Amino acid sequence: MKRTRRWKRLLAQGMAMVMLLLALSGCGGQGQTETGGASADGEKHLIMAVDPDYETFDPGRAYETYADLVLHSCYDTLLQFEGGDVETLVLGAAEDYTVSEDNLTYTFTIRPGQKFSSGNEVTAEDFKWAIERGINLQGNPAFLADYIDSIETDGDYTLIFHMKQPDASFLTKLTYSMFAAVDRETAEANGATNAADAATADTAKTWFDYNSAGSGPYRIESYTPNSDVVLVRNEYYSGTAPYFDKITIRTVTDTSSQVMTVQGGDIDIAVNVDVDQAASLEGAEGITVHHAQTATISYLLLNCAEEYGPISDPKVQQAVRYAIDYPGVLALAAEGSTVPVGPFPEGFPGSLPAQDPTALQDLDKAKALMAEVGYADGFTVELYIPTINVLGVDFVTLGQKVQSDLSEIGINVEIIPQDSAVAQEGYRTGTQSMGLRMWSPDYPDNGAQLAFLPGNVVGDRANWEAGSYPALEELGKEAETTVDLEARSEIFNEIAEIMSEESPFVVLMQHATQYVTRDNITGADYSNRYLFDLRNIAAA
Amino acid sequence: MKKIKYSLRSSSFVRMLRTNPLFAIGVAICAAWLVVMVFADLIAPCDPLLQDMAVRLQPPSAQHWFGTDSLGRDIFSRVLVGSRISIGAGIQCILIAAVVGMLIGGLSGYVGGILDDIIMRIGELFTSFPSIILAMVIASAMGASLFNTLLTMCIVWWPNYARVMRAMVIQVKSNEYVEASRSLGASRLRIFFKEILPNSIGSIIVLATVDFGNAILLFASLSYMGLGSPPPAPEWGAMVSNGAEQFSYWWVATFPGLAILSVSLGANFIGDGVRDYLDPKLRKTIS
Repeated sequence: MKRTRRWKRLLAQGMAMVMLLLALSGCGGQGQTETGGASADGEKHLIMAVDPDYETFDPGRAYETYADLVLHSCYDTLLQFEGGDVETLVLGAAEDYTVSEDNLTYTFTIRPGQKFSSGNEVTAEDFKWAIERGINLQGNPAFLADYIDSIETDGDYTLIFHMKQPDASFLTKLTYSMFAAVDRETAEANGATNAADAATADTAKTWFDYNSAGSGPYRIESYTPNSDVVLVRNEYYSGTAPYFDKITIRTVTDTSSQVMTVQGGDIDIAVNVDVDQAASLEGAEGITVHHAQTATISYLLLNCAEEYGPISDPKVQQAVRYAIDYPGVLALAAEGSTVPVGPFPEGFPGSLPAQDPTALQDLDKAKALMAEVGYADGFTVELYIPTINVLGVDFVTLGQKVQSDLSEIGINVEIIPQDSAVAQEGYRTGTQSMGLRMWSPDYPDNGAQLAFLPGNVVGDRANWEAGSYPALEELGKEAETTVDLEARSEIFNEIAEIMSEESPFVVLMQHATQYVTRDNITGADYSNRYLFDLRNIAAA
Repeated sequence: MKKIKYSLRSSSFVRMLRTNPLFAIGVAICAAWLVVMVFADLIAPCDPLLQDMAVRLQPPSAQHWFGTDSLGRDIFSRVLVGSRISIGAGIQCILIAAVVGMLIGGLSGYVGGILDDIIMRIGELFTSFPSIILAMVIASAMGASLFNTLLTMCIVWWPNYARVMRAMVIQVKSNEYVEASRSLGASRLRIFFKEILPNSIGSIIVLATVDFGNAILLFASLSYMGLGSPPPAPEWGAMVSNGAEQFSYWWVATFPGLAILSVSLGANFIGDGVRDYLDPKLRKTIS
């Protein structure tokens, strides 16, 4: 008896401690009240609220959308995007570069006089070391360097990449933090290594989570998980100094709290805003609602393996495409969402403009296609849906819209909602007869969307095997290695036209998003690469 | 004998209706919902599954009494037809969990000793997991179907009933009339079913009626995760969670929410009344 009582008391005390800790951590997030824009002591301070996904700020390991917000501010890459533009690359740490005739050798000249936040000078060796470290860490971004054969330095300011094969997306990939200069001396002092066994030997991850060693305009001053990241100026930065002295990226998971704090003037930018909230805020005093197009697409995956029944028939797949009421689908999405041509998002270099949604549905044609292959009376198919909300679009609701549209041509859709992890497993193993999926490109270039081709990553998920469309696959290979932008975009347009007509993927929409800033904030353009280019944001 | 007992009960039912207004309200609400459940198809003005994007998210009006949802479906019709799914699932789940929990808990409390320890530890094992997670694990192991979902809910829920029942049984079994029955030579089974069970059942009934609303909600969250009634079935819980995402369109979540509220409120009132009736001690103090 006594023993059980003591146990109970211990348990009670333990729980009380946990609750106390929870309460304290809760206070930490909201206790500080700082004002946006310029604060009393003249320090220019930007505060933004995000619902982040970051796992680490190690430039060699990070590959999450929100991590780029921090990393692009702290680390300089050879080339970079500016503001919200992801079509034009501009020079970053490099002052010049040349590409060999065969597209197998890239030679970069690094601008002398750039300094890390430790005061050390940036050299080609720092780039080489950091990239090799990223490759050997074998983390999430390592695949970006798949086509690199070797890296070479020539003196302090010349960096040469030797490629295994031409990679048309290479320059875009170079904007990732994995290719940024890292202060070798500081990093090695904290356990970093570029050795072949870096995946196990490198112990610098924790240090990188709370510190930075880059040559960008900011450095990480502090990071409190689930609370905030504070960036301050890198006083050794050699480029044009950004407007703000200090940036606080605060974690606020609840979208309505984000909106309320930006309305109250406590923060300057609220990143995660619901479609409805944006509508209710339109015209509110002191704040601006921005709409922007993301590169995220939602699509229907139709399985090509015959064992999944009529849905694997190319004609049926075409019929599905013609049966969807696209304006109705877009009504469920954020303002500004569009229907792209195939899986190629509008706004990527060389992409076609979005389609007119009202001209896409053709029920007569869909019914004729169904009848042509003997399914005039329709059939039943299972649609697997992850229970997620993608940029304000509830997938289960979207699925019911699809279900109702397809019933018009006799296809009886049975919806199977699944936890997203379960749905992911079904997708990965290619066992979904029909799936509602979302896709965010790995990097902002149409090269990333070649995954949808037969035999490639996404194509495989639909059992669209290599060899099922030789002409298309040939074009894909050509696109991968064609570096000239004009020739390349011509190939991509041809692929897009084919994909939007015959493929097991019915792209439903390219999502738009919305965010709210205070009126005096300028340059807060949504970027499909960095989320926001914090170097570019200023206050009027 | 039997006839007299029956008439006595029915007259006390009428008396309860008269003397206990909350009980009367509860009965009225539940009776109304039963009528709706039976005649839902006839009462509903629209097809609950018919989508019309032209009238999506319309506020309540003469044409759509409860407004329309994000796919332009008539919420009034959906709430009416949905009563079949939600109330049906709630009743089944609570019934099974209560009966199973009652028997196991009764056994545990009555026999005591090692059996008691084993059963209660197993029960604690189930309650120590968050019910949703446990339900997800069980359902993904067994595959998703309506039957499995109900089974899952029962597995998650029985320990609550077992614990209450066990406490009641331990209390009741020390009473003199149990002792008397045993002295008269009654078998353990007879004592359990004739003396202990009827005298401990009151709390179970109260708990069951209180849990009724929770059962509808758990069923709702399970079907939202794809276990249970799949969309587009007009299931109340799924309708509420769908509406909660569109908070500025208050009517989408409010009306199915009110439906859940009214049903569980009605069940609670009835439960209170039944408890008053079943518990002689309480009955004395009130009258």
